Amino acid sequence: MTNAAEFRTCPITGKKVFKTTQNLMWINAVTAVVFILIGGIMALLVALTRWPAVHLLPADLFYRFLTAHGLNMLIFWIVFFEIAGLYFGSSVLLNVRLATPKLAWLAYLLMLVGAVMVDIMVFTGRADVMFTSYVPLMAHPLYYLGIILFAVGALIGCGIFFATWAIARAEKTYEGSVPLVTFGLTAAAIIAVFTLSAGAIIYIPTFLWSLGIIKNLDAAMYRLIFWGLGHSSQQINVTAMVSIWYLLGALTVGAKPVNEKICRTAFVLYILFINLASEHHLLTDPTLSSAHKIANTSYFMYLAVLASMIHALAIPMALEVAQRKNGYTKGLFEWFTKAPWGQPGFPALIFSLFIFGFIGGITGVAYGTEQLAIKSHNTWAMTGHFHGTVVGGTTLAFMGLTYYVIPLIFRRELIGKKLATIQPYIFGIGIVLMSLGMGAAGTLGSPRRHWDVTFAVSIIPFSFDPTVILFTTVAAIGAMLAVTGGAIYVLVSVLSVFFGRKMAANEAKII
Amino acid sequence: MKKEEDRISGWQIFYDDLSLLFLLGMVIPAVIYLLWGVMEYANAPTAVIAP
Repeated sequence: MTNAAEFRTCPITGKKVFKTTQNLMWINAVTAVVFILIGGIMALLVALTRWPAVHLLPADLFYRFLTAHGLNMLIFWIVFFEIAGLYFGSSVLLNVRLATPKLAWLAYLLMLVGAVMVDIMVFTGRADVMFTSYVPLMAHPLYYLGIILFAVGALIGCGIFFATWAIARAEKTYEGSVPLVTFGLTAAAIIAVFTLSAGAIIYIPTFLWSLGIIKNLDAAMYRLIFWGLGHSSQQINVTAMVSIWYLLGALTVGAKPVNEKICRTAFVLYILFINLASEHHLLTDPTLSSAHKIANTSYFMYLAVLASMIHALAIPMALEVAQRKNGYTKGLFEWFTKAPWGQPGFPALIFSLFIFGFIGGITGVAYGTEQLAIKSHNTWAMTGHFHGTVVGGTTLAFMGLTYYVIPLIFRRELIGKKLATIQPYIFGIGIVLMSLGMGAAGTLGSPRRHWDVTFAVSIIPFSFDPTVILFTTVAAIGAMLAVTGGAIYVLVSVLSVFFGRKMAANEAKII
Repeated sequence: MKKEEDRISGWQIFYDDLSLLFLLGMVIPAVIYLLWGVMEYANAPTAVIAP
């Protein structure tokens, strides 16, 4: 049962937007932007240190800020945004009230308290353990407790998504199958439950170990279970990002998949197999058998890669069909050249798709083979790979969507539309330069997570090929551009959310 | 008898079954990645330090 006063009807989509959903989306999305700001400042400082011409920070601060950069970007920014996305995909797209809003607020508080605890521990130097916190490196117990609280909060958020799905089905607020975007977000939520459970399995004993209650933790066993969290959390991102690609396609040119069954099949392949990619981090571990490695990273993981290739064809096809229906039928590429490149959502979608597929995806599949992993795993090439997936892919897609969520859901007009329009270009070009620079320098042997890339103060001197410095500089210039793009995103979204003109209830304007 | 276009395919029934998708999404990585990996580590021979 719903009270009509609790919701408004979107003048564009006709969907019900419940006040509780809107508030919870708002708080989660705004919090996400705060964490991308913290992570972005850390990115700037880390990039200026990896750049030999600047070499800004001392070693201890470099590793501390690199830890903070990883946690704030890979976990806090993205998961807060995804929780906002899950509430949108369930309550708004299924036309139903959000299940247990009070519990959703509790989930938010747990995530916030957890994230703040982690950041305090890291910035005060009590958790210099990097993103992976591999044992026997030990952080302060509150660091592990913070991550556990954050994971529990996010798990509750996923539970609320499923409960809202169930209410919508019971109240018959939709017909047939759920919309494709909701289906994709369902896949992301299922992947998230496995991921966060793996996090709980490993971080609870690690927390007890840091308190001295457990005397010994097996380092190999830690790595195995940690990557059930560490890598799988990036698979939540991939799945949510692909869902957002479909949404951005619909919002920008009215795209609908030509064959939705194929797209749903691809999401199911993600649910079944994408989490097995965690094995990539263990390919150089001699204890595990080749059977375990090959079964996970080759046979089964390739079914998830197949899913990505299906999406990579389905989305451009949907865009082309929609554009041709819009009248752009001349030649092979008028549909592409006459696309809405002046709206932030379209370049964000295309750059995200291109960078994820051609830089992040292809390198990921290649480095995910046992032979190449041995050569590349601890090099900067790996950093280039995952900046292509998580930053150029996921973050850019989330940024593009934000410019539509602000007017459609938060009912505020964008401030700085021109800045918003150029932002995906600046950010996208920056990430391309950065990922390619990292990849090239890494292929020539430049190490990842390393303060002294020229080995200038190393006891054993070593000199790289000078092209490594060239590619490192390209990566640094790319990083500066990406940070500029990130700063524009934060500026436009914060100004718009707090000071943008309030839109009238019946104002049908997307951007 | 239902018309052909009204018939819901088996695949669609599977895709609409949230519980089954959830179960498979938990069991497959738990068995193939986690449990299998834990068993391999647990059964790894202990290194002997030469005297």
